[in-house]
Amino acid sequence: MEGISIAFEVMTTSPAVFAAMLGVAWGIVGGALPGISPSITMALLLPFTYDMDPIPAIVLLASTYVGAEYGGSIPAILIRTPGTNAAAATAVDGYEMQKQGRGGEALGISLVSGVTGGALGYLFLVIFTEPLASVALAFSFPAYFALGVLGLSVIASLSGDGLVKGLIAGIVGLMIATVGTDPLSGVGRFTFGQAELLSGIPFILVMVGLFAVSELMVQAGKPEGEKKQTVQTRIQLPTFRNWRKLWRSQGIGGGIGIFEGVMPGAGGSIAAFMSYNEARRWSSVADNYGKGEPEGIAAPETANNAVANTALVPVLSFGIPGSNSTAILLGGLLIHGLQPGPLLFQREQEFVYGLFGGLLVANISLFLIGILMLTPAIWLVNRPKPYLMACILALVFSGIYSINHSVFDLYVVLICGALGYCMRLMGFPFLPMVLGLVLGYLIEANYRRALELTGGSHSIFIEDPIALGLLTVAALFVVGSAARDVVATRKAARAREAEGAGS
Amino acid sequence: MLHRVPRDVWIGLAVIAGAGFYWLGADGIPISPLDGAVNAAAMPKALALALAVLGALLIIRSLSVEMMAARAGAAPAAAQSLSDEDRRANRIKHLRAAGVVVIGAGYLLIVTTVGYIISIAALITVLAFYIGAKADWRLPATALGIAVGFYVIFVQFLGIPLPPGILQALGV
Repeated sequence: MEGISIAFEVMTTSPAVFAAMLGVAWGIVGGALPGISPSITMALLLPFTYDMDPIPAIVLLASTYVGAEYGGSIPAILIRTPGTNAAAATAVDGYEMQKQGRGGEALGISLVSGVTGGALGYLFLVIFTEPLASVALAFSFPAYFALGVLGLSVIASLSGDGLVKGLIAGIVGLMIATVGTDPLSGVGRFTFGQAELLSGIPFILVMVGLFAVSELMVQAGKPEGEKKQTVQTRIQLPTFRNWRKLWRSQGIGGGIGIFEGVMPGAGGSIAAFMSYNEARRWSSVADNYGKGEPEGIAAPETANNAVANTALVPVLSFGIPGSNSTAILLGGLLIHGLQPGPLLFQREQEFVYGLFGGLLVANISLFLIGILMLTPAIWLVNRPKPYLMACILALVFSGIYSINHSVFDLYVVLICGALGYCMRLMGFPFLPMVLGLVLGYLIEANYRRALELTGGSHSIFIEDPIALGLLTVAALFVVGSAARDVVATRKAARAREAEGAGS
Repeated sequence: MLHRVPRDVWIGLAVIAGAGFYWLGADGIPISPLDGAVNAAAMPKALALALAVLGALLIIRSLSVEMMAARAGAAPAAAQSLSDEDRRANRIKHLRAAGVVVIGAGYLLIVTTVGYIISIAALITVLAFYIGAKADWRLPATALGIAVGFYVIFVQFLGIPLPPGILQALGV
């Protein structure tokens, strides 16, 4: 009850409601633009949150995530070009419905399912985040170090069959985190005499460069190709009777979305495709899937919007982001001096319940804003790519400059963009690098503080049961992924051998 | 016998070289009297070592796959799928991508002197044209309109002092 009253007070006395609505609207627009993922949409907004109060700033970012997951379905349905990775599953039946002249109906189902998934995920977030976070109350320096290592070990599950490359990217992230004044001794590290580097390289510059600028580079490298088809449609919400037919697929999508959101590395895309498959498996009209079946839109859209809420659970409880979008959200929290974990719930109650209140507004307003923003989103989808891309770079430069009024920062963003492009080219994933960057301080500072307690003996990490447990889980993660990597390598080699034998 | 060195081997070598440079930087971190049991250079040195080991692992992994395939007589992965035409297309793609960085750097070189509105309009015009917009009067006109819109949002609405440049000298 106390939480509700705090949330109500924050909602009525701060601009969080406005931030939630603005975030949803911006998210829908960003999500609707093919190539602009939810993480890029959030990264573009990050500079503008710098001077804001923490509550509206984080509500703005979290609401953007909510809006972007729905926004991605708009071009997926209208032009079979998913605005987000998670919307790829929606495109299967959504575009079929559009071809049958039922595009407005498909958009309506997507919106209603998105709101339903958001509500289910939101309930889970509000009920389970605090109890989970309270586990961390017993944490000491070694345990926090181990928690950081566990967070990094998520890399293993995110790197697919490229575990080594994922680990390299994670190490590079940790290396970037060491730039600047050492927090414990005050010694400058890797500053090369540049005063601008004394305070380190802010996450925001790396994130915007990696996600937004590198994407612009990728888009610039693509040929214009055929002229974009121009589409127009009006949203058509499902009747109550039709909505009831979707309950089972929405329930499946919601359940899978809640589970996948909490799991590190799973994310909206996996949730969307898994829920599509499961909804089809349990459907009485399974044969209609792929031919314009509304359930084929309802399940993935419910799932990815549930993920947008439950993905916040590990971030707020332990400070471990499981996806690019939540890594940016974690960056936003740290920028505002908010350290996730149990103390956040004790010391920053106003923030936590304010965020919950803001997310409630975001999930509810998604319904109305989703209808209102459809026309501008379609207008933007129909704009020529060159203008859109040029405007995005202009927005990146203007937003980043506004943080410190520094042209040096813009050079850093550009360099990070080039680095991101090279990483894409060579098959290095981004998320491990971002994880290394945001978890670098947590890991190093707590490692060194722990060793201060023992005069340099590492036995403290074995004697502390929580640290030992977390380190064991982290080791299992890495060993399991390494085993999977070896199996995949052998399989690839055998396939090549078979190919050689056949030729 | 390998026909061609796989790409990941080159990447692994570059990673090891990067680890070496990083180690040299870490070695130059001064010792502080405030250092405790672990000094400020310890973590960077550990990271450099870990990076070098991972670089070596990448090379070993890549070579082992290639050699197993070579023994079986399969075409090497590096030379397998790309024709000369594909390679040329890739080169053009990467050069076009690099052009975005060059255009961005060009903007950064002029923004403080020329000022925000003119330089951002120039950035939008050049980048849009570069990515494929038609070169007619509408391109710079649209770019100027967007630049003025951005200026109003950032300077007038958000109160952010963007570089005025020559416009200030002209008293605008």
